[in-house]
Amino acid sequence: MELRQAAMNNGLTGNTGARHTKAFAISIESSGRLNEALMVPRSLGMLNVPGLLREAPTALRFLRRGKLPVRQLVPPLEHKIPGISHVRRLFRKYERNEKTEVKG
Amino acid sequence: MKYAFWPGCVSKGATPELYTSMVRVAKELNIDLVELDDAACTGAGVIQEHNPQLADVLNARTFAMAQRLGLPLMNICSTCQGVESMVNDKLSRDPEYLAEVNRTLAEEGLHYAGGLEIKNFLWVLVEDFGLDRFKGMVKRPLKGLKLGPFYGCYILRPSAILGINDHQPRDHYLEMVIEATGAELVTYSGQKKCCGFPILTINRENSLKQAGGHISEAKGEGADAMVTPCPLCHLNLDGQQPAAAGVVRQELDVPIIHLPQLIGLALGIDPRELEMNRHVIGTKQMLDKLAGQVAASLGAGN
Repeated sequence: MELRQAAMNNGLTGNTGARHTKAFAISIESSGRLNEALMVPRSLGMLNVPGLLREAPTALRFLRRGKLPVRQLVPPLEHKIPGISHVRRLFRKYERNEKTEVKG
Repeated sequence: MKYAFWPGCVSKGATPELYTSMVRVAKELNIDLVELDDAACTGAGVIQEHNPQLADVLNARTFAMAQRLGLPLMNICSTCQGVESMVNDKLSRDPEYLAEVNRTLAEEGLHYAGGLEIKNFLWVLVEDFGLDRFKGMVKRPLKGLKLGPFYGCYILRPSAILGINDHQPRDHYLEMVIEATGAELVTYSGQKKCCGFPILTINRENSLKQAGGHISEAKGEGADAMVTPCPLCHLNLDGQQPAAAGVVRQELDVPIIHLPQLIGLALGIDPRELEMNRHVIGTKQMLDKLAGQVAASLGAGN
């Protein structure tokens, strides 16, 4: 964890691992929970057509089994926890200190 | 028995059958769950990479909500358990840091005093409910079914923080639970290794090789299905199994069932109520085998 954080703090952000981390943060700040439907496209890159096509069969299998909530694909429609304003406040507060050293 | 309940994001997303089966099983076991609707994602170890202090506060916020209810916290996700245990340990070892976190939580009227008991359903079942009591409630012994355990990393490592010791052999609970259902335990070398999910988007080939290797090994030992307390492992072992089969070039077709589904089956709950039909790898063959065993045992009893 600390290694990836150090890599990202030093500008190594143009890769799937860094995008995955960023996608996680976007998801939680937006809704309070993980939006799995958007994690793969956000991690691979929204314009990464070959990568997205490779994942299409899995997505279809999930869709068929009711494991891919379609409304989660549209951020304004995604379910948000009631106290999302508090979560966003925490993000605003701590994102300003994003490059602080790992504590503990 | 009453718990503040953190279902985790995945049981509300890509593994809805986990949430449904847990709620149904809790009712059968008379475990009262107070769901923390307003709790946020634990960060699954990923937000910890992004911003560790933010991740700590998000989890402390959840702990404070449980503590306000005066209840221990129960989760149904190995990854959530690992993250929550690590944050709880960090806060308990550093009162100054806990005070700093509490200054932030106070803006929402929350306070975390530390010391919250946080348990995965697997631990609750063994330590609080008791396996003897559970065995006494089994209505449909899973006799004849061969099941392989799959823990997930976060509920096993780091063992000291997770309270795994001689007094609490939590790294053996899944085997104990499988045997308590009457099923036959299948052991294999990969049962406590990583499923590969954390590297799925980064190194798909290796991730699927890991998942496929474990499933293949369990199948080779005769497993009819594998059981996991981790929905993230489930995503790789079940959701990605067709792709994993392609990578290891072997037909796999091994159902992966969630821990509450295992318990529910043994308690005699209808598989449809446990949403056994929602898996990518179908459970019909396994359920048919179970039904055949039940019918055979009824026949033998007549």
